[in-house]
Amino acid sequence: MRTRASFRIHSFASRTKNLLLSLAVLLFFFREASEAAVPLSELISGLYGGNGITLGAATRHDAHFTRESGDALNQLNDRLGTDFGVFPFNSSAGNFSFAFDADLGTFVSTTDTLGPIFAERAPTVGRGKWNVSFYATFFDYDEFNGQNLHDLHVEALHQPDEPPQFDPDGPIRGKRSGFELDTLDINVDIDASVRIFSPAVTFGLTDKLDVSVFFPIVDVDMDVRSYYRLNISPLNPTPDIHLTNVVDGAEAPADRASGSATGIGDIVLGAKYQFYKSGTLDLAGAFLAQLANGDKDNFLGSGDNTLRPFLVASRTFRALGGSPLNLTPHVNMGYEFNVDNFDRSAFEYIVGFDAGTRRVTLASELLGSHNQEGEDRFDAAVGVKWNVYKRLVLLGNVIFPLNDTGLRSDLITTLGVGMSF
Amino acid sequence: MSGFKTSGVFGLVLLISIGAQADGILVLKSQNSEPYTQALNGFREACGGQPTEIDLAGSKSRKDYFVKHISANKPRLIVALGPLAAKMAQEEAKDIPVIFLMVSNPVRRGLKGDNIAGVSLDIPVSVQFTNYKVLLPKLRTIGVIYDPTKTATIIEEAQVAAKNLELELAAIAVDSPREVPRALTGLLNKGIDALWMVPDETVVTPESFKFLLGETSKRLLPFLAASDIFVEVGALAALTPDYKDAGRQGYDLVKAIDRGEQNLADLGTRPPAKVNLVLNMKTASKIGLRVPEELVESASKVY
Repeated sequence: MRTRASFRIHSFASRTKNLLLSLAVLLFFFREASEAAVPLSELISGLYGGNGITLGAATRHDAHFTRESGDALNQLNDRLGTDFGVFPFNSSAGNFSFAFDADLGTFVSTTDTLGPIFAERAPTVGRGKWNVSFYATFFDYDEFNGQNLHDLHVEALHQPDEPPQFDPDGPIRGKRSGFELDTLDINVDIDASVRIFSPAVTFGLTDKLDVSVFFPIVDVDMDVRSYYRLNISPLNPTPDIHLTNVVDGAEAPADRASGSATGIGDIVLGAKYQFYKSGTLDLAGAFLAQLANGDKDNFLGSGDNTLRPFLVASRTFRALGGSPLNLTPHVNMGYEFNVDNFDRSAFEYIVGFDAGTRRVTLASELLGSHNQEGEDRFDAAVGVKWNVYKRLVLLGNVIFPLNDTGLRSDLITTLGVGMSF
Repeated sequence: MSGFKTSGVFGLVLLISIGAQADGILVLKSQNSEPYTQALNGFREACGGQPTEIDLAGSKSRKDYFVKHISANKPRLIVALGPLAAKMAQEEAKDIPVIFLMVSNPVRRGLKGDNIAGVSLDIPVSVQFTNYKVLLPKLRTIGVIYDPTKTATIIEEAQVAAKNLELELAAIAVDSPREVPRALTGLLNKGIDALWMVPDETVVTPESFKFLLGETSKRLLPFLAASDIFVEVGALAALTPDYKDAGRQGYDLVKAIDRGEQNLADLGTRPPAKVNLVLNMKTASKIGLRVPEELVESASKVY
């Protein structure tokens, strides 16, 4: 005889299996679609034919900007590329828990709020319980290290005549004089729009241990426009030597490239174990492994495998100020080991709170990181979760940057829906 | 803050009385929580006014303020919400009649005497069994697991109620949640028709609840829970006191005293006059139970 409990678990497992299979088919399709396109990581470096900018020459002098300008664009491309494909992901909503209320002489629910946005809180979903969510995240990249992505400037120097210790693979150094003091100002305007559709599943292996998987499908549109200007040095005694007219053999100053890619992003596997629980404080240890399966060449993944152990602490204050509101401050603190590039490893933390009831919860968080290269990133997040029907939860949140480090969006918007079984 | 006076030290809130019926009545709340708010709303609606309120915010440290307040304002009657408020009112306001509300097991808490009466949160077992017999017409043997140190009095009451209602009560005592599986096996061997949960914190833990829910589901056995929160996640039914009606009932006691119909000593403790039935119709369907339409309509909440 099939029991109700086993039927439920079997039924949900079956549904989840079907969901994942459908997703796999979908992802295969997306991956094929992205592979057919020009890799997005080559859009910037591929400007001006991909071999730098060649100017026209008024005399027998060659325009020695080619390699420098190519290097400058490649460096910009590399710096942008390291930050593409790094996306935040939401935490799961809480599940059913209860406690005995001696005053009322009965059991009351202790699922006080719907939980944080990106942080984890210590309580787990419970043995045999599922939390299935789907998130849609939208944003445009706006700035890189504080510079407007629509108005990036890259300076290309002229190759010196006799560079000392010439290194064919390194930057061109050496002493410049005369017309070698002319420079090219390459103005790059980048439109990069990202949409992430991410199913996430959390399952309670035991009452204290959750495992989870986050399965992002990433869609990136990128449009790059560039325009170069020749800056003639006042110290150049032959200011007419470098020419930018196409008729003189120069590459056209304006160039443009665009493309898009859709496919699976970096899959994240997680586990959380609640090892301490009291009336005042809950503690858990958690572990996230982010796989470098996303196509880095198309900015769908980070290209790095990372391991992230972290500690979770949360505390719930019930009936705040005598109101029906509950408040749960939470802290996540850990270290992200970048297996492929240790310099990009970082100390990470989230500090925040969620406040509200089982019906509506408002949450706010500070997300910070300090990497091995000494760079700090700070973001703020604000979000709302709404239990619209039974165990169906809708959520919306925004992230905005608090400093300029790296590639940033002015506003990252996420909408989601989640359900616990 | 119009109509409010706030103590900066304790954060106590006093609502200035309006409405003649509420005159001279002081409401002392143990804390500000949703069930207490419902009861207080019921009381306010019944009396048609805003009695003065003191919120103890869950702490005895507000006692001095309370004592000073009753000394200065001399209320004619105190309505105490929750055990903390009821006990404080009983001990500190011996010359003022006290009506308590929202208190479970008031006798065990010592809430009896000449100056105190009230409405208990405990639904009499006979009321529970009567309702469950309507829900489960074939109910003959009802099983229960309990910890004698926590809920022996409920089981004693249940034995009497069962006998009066021609039911058989199969009760197995445990002293640890680990014994729950063995106890359930014992009950199943006795051929119970339903498992009845009592508010026993030894027996009902998150782990044991999941076990009991899973096993009763497996055996298509009705699981009658001690709280509506369990019905939401799969138990068949629960009976809960109607908190708002308890507030209204409290005002009935006040009126009876005001009219001189009854004195406090005679009133004693009364059970909640209105209980709410909470049903999980999906569970009913899964275990093959047909619930009469009128019963579904009478339920306060249906999942």
